[in-house]
Amino acid sequence: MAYTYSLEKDQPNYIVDPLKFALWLFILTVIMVFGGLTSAFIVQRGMVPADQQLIFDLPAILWPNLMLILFSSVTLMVGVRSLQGDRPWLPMLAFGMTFVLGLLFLRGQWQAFLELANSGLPLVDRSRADNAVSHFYVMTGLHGIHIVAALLVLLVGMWRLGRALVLGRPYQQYRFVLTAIFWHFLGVLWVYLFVFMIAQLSEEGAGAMFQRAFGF
Amino acid sequence: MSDATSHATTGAGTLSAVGHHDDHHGHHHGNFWTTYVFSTDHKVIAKQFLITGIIMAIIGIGMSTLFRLQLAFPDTSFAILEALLGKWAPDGKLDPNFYLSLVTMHGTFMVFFVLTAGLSGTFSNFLIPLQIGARDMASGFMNMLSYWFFFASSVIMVSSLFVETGPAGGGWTIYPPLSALPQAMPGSGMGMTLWLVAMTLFIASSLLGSINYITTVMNLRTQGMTFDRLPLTIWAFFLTAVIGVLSFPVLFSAALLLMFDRLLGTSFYLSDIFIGGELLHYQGGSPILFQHLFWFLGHPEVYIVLLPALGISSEVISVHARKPIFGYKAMIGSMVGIAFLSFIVWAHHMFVTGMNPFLGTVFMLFTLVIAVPSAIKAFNYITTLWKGNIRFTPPMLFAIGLVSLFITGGITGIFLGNAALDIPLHDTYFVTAHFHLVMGSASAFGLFAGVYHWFPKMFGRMMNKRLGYIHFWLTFTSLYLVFFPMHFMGLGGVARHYWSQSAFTFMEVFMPLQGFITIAAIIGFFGQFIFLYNFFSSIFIGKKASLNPWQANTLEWTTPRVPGHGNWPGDIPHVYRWPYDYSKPGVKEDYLPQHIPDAEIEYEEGFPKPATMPTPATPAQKPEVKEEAED
Repeated sequence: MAYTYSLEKDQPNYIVDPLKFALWLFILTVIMVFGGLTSAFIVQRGMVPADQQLIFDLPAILWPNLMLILFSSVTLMVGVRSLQGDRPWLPMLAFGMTFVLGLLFLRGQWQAFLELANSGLPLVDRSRADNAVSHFYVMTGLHGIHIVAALLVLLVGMWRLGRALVLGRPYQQYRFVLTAIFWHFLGVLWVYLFVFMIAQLSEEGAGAMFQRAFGF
Repeated sequence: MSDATSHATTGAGTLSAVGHHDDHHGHHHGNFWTTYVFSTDHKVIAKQFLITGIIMAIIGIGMSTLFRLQLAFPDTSFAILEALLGKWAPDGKLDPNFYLSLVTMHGTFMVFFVLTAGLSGTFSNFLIPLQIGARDMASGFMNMLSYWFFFASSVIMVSSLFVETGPAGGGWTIYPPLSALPQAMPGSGMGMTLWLVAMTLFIASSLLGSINYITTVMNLRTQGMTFDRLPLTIWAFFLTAVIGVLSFPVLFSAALLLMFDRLLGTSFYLSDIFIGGELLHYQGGSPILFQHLFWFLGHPEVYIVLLPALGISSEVISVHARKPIFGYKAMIGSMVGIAFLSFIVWAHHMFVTGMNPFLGTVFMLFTLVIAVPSAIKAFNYITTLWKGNIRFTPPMLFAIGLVSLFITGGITGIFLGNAALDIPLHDTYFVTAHFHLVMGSASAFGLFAGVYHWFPKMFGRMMNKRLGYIHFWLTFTSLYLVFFPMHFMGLGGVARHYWSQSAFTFMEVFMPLQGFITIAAIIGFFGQFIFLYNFFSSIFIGKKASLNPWQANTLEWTTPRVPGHGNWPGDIPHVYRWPYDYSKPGVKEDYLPQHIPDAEIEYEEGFPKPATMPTPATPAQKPEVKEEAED
């Protein structure tokens, strides 16, 4: 019967680790989702007569948000790099910082939503001919949901790392490499969405928005 | 075999390895739940996909017979309709709204649940690890998740048949506004919401599966299994998965915006619209946008359905014709071409939406170009059969049937791909006939060919041949009798989606033909029960299969009769050649499996060995091969 079957891994015949490869494929699907959404935006925008297109000041908080998410990529990288070092609590600290920065980013995005809605541009407004703002909410929100998922993965990783440290066991640092790839991707995705939104929606441009955000 | 010799040379190592396998296996005994239900073994998951697909197919095809009754005999009262459908068929006649729901659900079940998950899910899962020489999929867990997402999706979709307002009724393409406004018609209500939930799960399932298939094919091939030695089945499944990964996310985007419109009241797809005399104040949206996003998935989806069937038929035709597949590389090239082109033709589904004629011409051009790789494939099938030593087994009949249906249905694609011809032909039975032949029937034949061919590997037993022949001829003739006359009805202007055609004189002349089609469809439907009986009874009472019942070359036939977890008891065989060496001149048998090293090929007596083959089995060569293997 099936008792003698080998479940051992045969000698690896691959160049890239299968899990990492699968992650890149998943990233490809996320790219396609946002590709679909941005092309929907462009097509719909093209249907609106030029004089009825919505152009407005995007919430200034998007700038600090951008910095938060870029900085969180740096802290995550520091964490992954220091996993092999001899200061076992440094990665934990770095991952913790990344987590907090991620939460701050989400809070900032939520504030941007509130700010927009309060300035007379809510998600649903059937009196406007241009749906661009609704698209903004959908894309930003969907990106936020991905951030939430990535934070949960990070949290699980931190819990496992913490347990390994307390019990003095070896831990799988590879998990963090995958988390980091996805997190960096989400950062890059936000840069893309940010630039896209400013190019399509912002009246004042990125520079003026930056000034409004930081006061210089 | 070289594996055996390498074992013999390191006897001690082998012993300890076997001992290790034994204890290792102790942890993998598993109970009923982990072996048959929440299994991570690709073969079990494949069977789960197949059986769920079969159940969905029975429901889906059953629905079509019900609405065929209505179409053919709109004024007759059928007690069976009232008994089965209750208030949806008052006085034994289908309710018009429920007719639309049945058509919608028939399309949804067949396209997604049977021909996508049932076909690709079954055979990609079953064959990829077995044919490339891998122990299992790259991630068994993801694979299991893929099935259970599909299962949940199926349960929700089936349960939507029982909600008070009926299942979704806006067509399987769920165009807004019917899908975006719950009050638009009964089939836009709860049924539509459940449809969207089920499809979201389905997309997740499909993506998990596709990512796994691609990763496995790219990374887990055995030694020697280069891309130009992959069986065409694997090429087809691989390309199908690539198409899935690129197109299903876009359907998700489309459905996401649709859900916003439906649940939160945005107006992505809606503009000023009247419902029941009441003006709904939507602005700025466009239902055409949805069509673009939908068909960006929808057209590649056609090839997600068709390519696995073409891959299966390539393998089956070559094995049962005892000839190498004609134009192996041309087959791969044309599949790659089809996969690429499938992404730039979607708007041919939208020629009559008021599209710019210049844009229509571009899409028309690409659409017609698809005929080139498709024709290459069709000719290659025929030239493979040409002068072959054909064994007319049930899988072979279904594979040849596929070629026939593919050509018949494909040719009308050239008509419909013309933007100008599409104006009179769109939304008529001509379209129905076209896609049912080329995508529906051809893919279903691929599924049948695959089941008959790999049943011995799945269950260790053979299916009954005689029942297979009866099943084939009933199915094949009934399909042609159903769909061929539809072309003429379409040319006569009979519209699709009409609940009853007796109200229009120009359609009424076709009523006798409608009756004929319905009778053929019912015969075809009952013919499938022969298959069902054959399938389920053969699992238990079929003749025990030999290790390689079709004398095929691919690796799955080197496994034990019923392979266990891990597929090969010992080492995974290495691969030394492409999979289509049938009837090779000089070789003793008429097939030459992929795993036989060149030095061990048995030649006919007196046949001069090929010049490329070193005649003396030089002992110095073997260790070299081994070293390479251990790298």
